[in-house]
Amino acid sequence: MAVTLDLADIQGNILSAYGKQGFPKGRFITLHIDEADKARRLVTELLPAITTALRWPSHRSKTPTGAVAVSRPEVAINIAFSWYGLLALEIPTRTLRGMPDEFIDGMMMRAPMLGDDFNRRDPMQAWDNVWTAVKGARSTDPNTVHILITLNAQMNADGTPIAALEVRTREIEALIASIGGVRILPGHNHPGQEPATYQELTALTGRRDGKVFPLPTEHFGYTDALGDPVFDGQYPDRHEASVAVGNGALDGAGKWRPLATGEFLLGYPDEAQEIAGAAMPLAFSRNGTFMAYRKLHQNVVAFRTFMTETAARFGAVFGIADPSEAMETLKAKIAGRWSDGVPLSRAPTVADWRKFNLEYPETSPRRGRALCDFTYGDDPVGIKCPITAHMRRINTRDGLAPSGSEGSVLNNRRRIIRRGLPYGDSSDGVPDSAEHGIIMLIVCSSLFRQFEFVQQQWLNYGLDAAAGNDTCPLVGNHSPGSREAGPKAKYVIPSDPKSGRPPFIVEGIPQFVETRGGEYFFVPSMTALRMIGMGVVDPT
Amino acid sequence: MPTYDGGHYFLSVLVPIRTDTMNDGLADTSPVHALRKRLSMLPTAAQTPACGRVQCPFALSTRTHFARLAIIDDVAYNGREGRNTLLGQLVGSDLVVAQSQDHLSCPFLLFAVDFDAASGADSERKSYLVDLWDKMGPELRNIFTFCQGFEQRVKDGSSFAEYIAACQLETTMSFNDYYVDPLNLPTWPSKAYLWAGAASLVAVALGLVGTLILVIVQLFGPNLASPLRFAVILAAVGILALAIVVVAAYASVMAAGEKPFPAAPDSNLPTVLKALHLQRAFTRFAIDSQMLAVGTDTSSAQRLYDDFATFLTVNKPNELGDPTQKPGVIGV
Repeated sequence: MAVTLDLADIQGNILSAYGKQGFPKGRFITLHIDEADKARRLVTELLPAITTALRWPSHRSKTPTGAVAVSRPEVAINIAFSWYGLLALEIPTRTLRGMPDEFIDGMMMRAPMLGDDFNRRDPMQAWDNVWTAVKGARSTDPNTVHILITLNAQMNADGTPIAALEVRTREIEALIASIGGVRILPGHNHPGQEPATYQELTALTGRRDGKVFPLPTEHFGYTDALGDPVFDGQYPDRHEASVAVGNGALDGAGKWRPLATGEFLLGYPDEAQEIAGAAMPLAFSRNGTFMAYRKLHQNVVAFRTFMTETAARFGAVFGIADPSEAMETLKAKIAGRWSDGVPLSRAPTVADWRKFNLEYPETSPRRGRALCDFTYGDDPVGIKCPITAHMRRINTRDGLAPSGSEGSVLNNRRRIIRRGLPYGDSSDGVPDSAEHGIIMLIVCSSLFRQFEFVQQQWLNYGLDAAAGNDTCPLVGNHSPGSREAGPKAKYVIPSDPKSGRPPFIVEGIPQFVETRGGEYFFVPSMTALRMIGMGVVDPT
Repeated sequence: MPTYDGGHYFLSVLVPIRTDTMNDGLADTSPVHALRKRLSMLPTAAQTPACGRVQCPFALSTRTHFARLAIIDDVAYNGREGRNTLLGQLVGSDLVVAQSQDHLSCPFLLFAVDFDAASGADSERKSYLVDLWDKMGPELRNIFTFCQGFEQRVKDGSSFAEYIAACQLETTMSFNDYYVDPLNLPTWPSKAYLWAGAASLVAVALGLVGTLILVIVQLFGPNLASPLRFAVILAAVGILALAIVVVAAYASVMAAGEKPFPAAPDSNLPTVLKALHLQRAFTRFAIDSQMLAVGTDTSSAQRLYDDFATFLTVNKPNELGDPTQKPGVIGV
């Protein structure tokens, strides 16, 4: 019997990526709770406005909506709580102590383990003010972030967010003002600047026929968010089997299936074939999940400069004469995908890339699947896609199978759903000191086992990739070379021994991505939100 | 023979800790309390910030791969031994009365260490322990002084080796991490034993069925004593053969398990350290030389040739001595 999810009980940002569904604009709000009873009232008042996972008809997506459909919101609204937020809401101790250690610690406490203290930088100095304003104990400090409200909005033809975003913001502000006991925490930018009240987000945009349209790319120029895990119950029946190809779990015989629901939603059997323990009562945890909010600043100028400087040498070593082809290949070897998302595993060379795009043009209904349907089993040393390329680190697929025939068994418990949107402007002439990057929302049922493991072991370490201390060339912690931080960050691009060419090793990679703040949040179900609002969380 | 496996000796030792009250210089305390404090102050690695860049004394030995010291306070109690409820009722077991629990007579110090050895012979263990005493005698005395009989029996490296040998246990599960390539080992001849077992079973079945049929037929008159004897003997021989096959299979599996794995190539510590050094030095060389390697002119080829000659001269890949990585060091 397949899992049937109560979509009306699950918050909508877990099952789907708003950015891809016509919500390219966003605004994130952080709140502090001064008075528990008023905060509970706020939760209750907000409850009808929360966007659930109930499907709405879409003119863009071919995904069937299933039996139930609601009308499409102009602004999708979701809510999440930090552990100190739950404490401030006076959730019972027994429920609070059932929460995972890493969630209680919060992201800043975990920063050294996550590699966020790169180059020995103290997060308290480097992060946005909203996360660093806490100077005392988080249980009493008036600046502790307790609640995160996310607004995702549709876009006007001129590239601005639709008016409803402003309307909903004013409504929330008015609600907070009328109830009291809760404050908006500003400071979504660096200290010394005028504190930004909200974290504004926007997809990158292009212009065609005078109309602005959202691009699926991030600031470095890569097409993003192509592969995300697919789990049991996420899609209506027949569609699920199809999207699981390349995105689910792979068995030893090369067959794909959706991942276990419990990897992404609490209260369901997971890939260990058990329902993992969660905070009691079960109704409080079930259909909820955890989310890491990470503001990742992108040093776009540094990235472009580095690529330009390195591409010529890379081309010389790899025998690619055309400078733009060398640049594109280098970028692909770093990410694991060509800039338009075509995977290296299916198209290892520029010629293969062109061929792939002829066979699966942007308009082809088969392109989406072709972009995800690949494995690493036939490329054990990374001649096509380097083992240490960004994408192959984050989702190892069958690449770690001990004897090569176990499918994705060592990867199935390490999957993360990536939500979020870019922010800021990185067009030509904008310096790296300006605000631009991506707000990553990483969703999984165990931040410790899934997100933190991937971040620590696979992105900021190289042992599983047989690459020593090498970190992810794109988002990893890049050592500048010092006694404390170790040798300069390097990246090895293996070459095909048959080509007679040596591998390419690039040394001294600058820090491309810097963490600018974040926190771990619990994304409750609608039931749990109701219980929180009513003050009836009863763990006995 | 897991105590010696793959070119490494896996020494497991449980040393009883003193139980008399003692003074650690600050207060009256127990030896186990004082020992735990000493162990926590033993530097584990120079890279660990808490060790203040002081190197682990075990790194003085170039034979030690891993060393671990831990205190076993007592055996854990896992709760009542389970029993079938009905059976318990029949024999009248009383769930309210506590079952007897096992406890250790004193705490023990676990000393587990993997070191390079040419064989599992006692002389190899002795030579390692004597060498260890020579290299870190004061540190060992600092630890083992809290153990029973140490002060009376241990005067030098040789008596330390004897003291440790007296507390050695057989290692039954060793961990060896140096096999890079899969081992080509002979497969246990399971088919031969299965065939032999099947043949014995057939004999048993034929003998038993024959006996049954002959006994039934004999009830109706004819005297079949001779074939009946044959059938009974066949069954008996079959049973005997089956027993022999089972025992032989068991003995063969156990004997195979006793055999140590061959040493993985280049898995002793000096070679591993040299390999780590060469890996790092060659990575440096590869980074510095990659543009020469793709040059098409003769001068870059000559320079690459010369640079590699320098690399060989400086790093001496065929010699295990310097330049090499220092033991106990991670990274540069």
